[in-house]
Parts: sequence; structure tokens; C-alpha cells
Amino acid sequence: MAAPPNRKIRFRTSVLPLDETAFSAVAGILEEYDLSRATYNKNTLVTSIGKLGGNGVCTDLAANQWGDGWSSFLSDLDSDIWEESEEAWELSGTWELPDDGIKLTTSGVGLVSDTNNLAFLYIKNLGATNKALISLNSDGNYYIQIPAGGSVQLRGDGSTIQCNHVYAKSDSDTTNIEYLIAKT
Amino acid sequence: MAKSVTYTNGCMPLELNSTSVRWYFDSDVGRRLAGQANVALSSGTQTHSSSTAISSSPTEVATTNNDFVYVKNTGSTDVLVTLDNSNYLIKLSQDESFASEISTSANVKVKTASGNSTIETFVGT
Repeated sequence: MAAPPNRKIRFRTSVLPLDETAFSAVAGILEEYDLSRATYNKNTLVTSIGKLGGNGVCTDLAANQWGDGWSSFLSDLDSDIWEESEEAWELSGTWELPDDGIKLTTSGVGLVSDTNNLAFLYIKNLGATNKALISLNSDGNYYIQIPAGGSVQLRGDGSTIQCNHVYAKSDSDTTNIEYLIAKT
Repeated sequence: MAKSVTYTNGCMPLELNSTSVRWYFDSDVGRRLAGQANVALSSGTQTHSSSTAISSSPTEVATTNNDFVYVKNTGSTDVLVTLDNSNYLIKLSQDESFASEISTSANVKVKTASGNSTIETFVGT
């Protein structure tokens, strides 16, 4: 199908600084069951800092992306019949992607080969145990770490970082990720 | 008592339909994307600054040996962020923020391309 007239990405970040708070034991017994509870600890918001976060709209990305591989998965909106899919299935590799995403090992791999400037990056670690490590400078320093279940997102500076500069690997054994890598 | 940070990054890719009338979920993605994780802080230190003035000269947010960083642009001029003390690859416009667990080798600094702005920062160590 034809490229859309425009694209944009709304994004939001939320940060909760937490401290472990001790709660006293609770005593009490009803006729039918015991309400009592031993002393326990629970993570609570650090009220002197409070909730942190920000949001924005990335309008830098091109309406016509560099390929369907800019997102690592097929949408539920895409056709179930490959002949009708807009995906270049025989080229992209994303055609046969399972729900658990791209598999990473401890060897760094470039996620895409497009050399346009990076507009927006989103990566989620779909794994259950190991961290995904992300480099914005090819297979160099992996300064960004994504714990299991976590994600990272950022806008590129628009002039230096390119889509093909994004590399990823697992900190141990393997993990899986999903991503968006949008060009300007 | 152990200190930690729970953070969420989420986005909603949108696509304008062919008649340029309405925005829909991007048909290459089809849904909202988000992830949430908790980072245990190795030294149990949380450092927050609600407002720091910055300029086109680098301002250090986090030296090495930190576990987590959060930077929000609270001004009106775009802010650039580096994780390696030299390559400013991340852009934050007004009200946008960057939050991530980071390597202990990361050295986070910010600056503007030109002019002044203000930022909010949180560093977990």
C-alpha cells in the first residue's frame, strides 16, 4: 500500500523513586478467619521526591519509513494472508517473527542496516531474566541497560546518530526484544 | 532499607489516514508499546534536582558508577544528552524526558545546541 501522509509517535515516561518501608504486625482474628499479619516490608514512594516523568510527541519521523522493518513485529492489523500483506516477507525476516521478538545473544548485533538519521528509538526487553544491553554507537559501549520487562525510548539528535548505529546484545545467555527504529 | 526505582517507558505510534483526516494506530504496529521494570540501587542513593539551569556548555548529570538516570527538559529550548561524555545523541524537547538503567561506565552530561534551558534530574546509585 502507499505510504501514509504522515506519522507521529506520542511517548511518555514515568519514574517512581521507591524506598522499602517497614510495616508493623497486624493483629486480629475474626470468627471464621485470621486477619493477623507479621511485620512486613513494602516499597513505597519517596515522598520528598515524588513521581517523576515527562511526555512528548515525536514528529521528526518520516511518513514513508525506510522499510517495514522499522518495527520488529507484524501488526495485528496486517493481513493474515501473506499475499495481501504489505510486508516484504521474503526480505524483511519479520514475516516469521514469533510473538517473543528478536533473539539476542551476548554478541552485539546491529538491529537494522538503514543509514538515515534516527528519529525515534523504542526497545523493550521481552525476556524474563537477562538484561538487554543497547549501544547507540555501533558495537561499542553498551551504556543503556534494559531489565526484563523494561523498555527504553529516545529521540535521535537528528544529525549524528543513524538507524544502523543501534546495536543490542544480552548481558548473559539470551534474551528477546521488540523495537521501533524510525528514520527522520 | 533497600532503595529502588520503578520506571515505565511507553509510546503510541500513530499514522494519518490517506484522506489526512484522522490519526490511527500505526498500521505497521497496531498497538501501544510499553515496558516497566524495577532497578535496585546498589548503594541506595537517590539524588534529585528539580531545576538545574544549563547552557550550550556541558553540565554533568551523572558521573560513572551510577545505576539509573532520569533527565527531563523543563525549559523551552531543546536539550541534548550524552551517555559517554562526548556524543550528544539524544534530544529532549520541552517536557520530554529520558529514563534508563545505565552501565556503571556511563557518564551522563547535557547541553543545549544554543541558548539556555532548565532540566530536572534524578540519579540512582
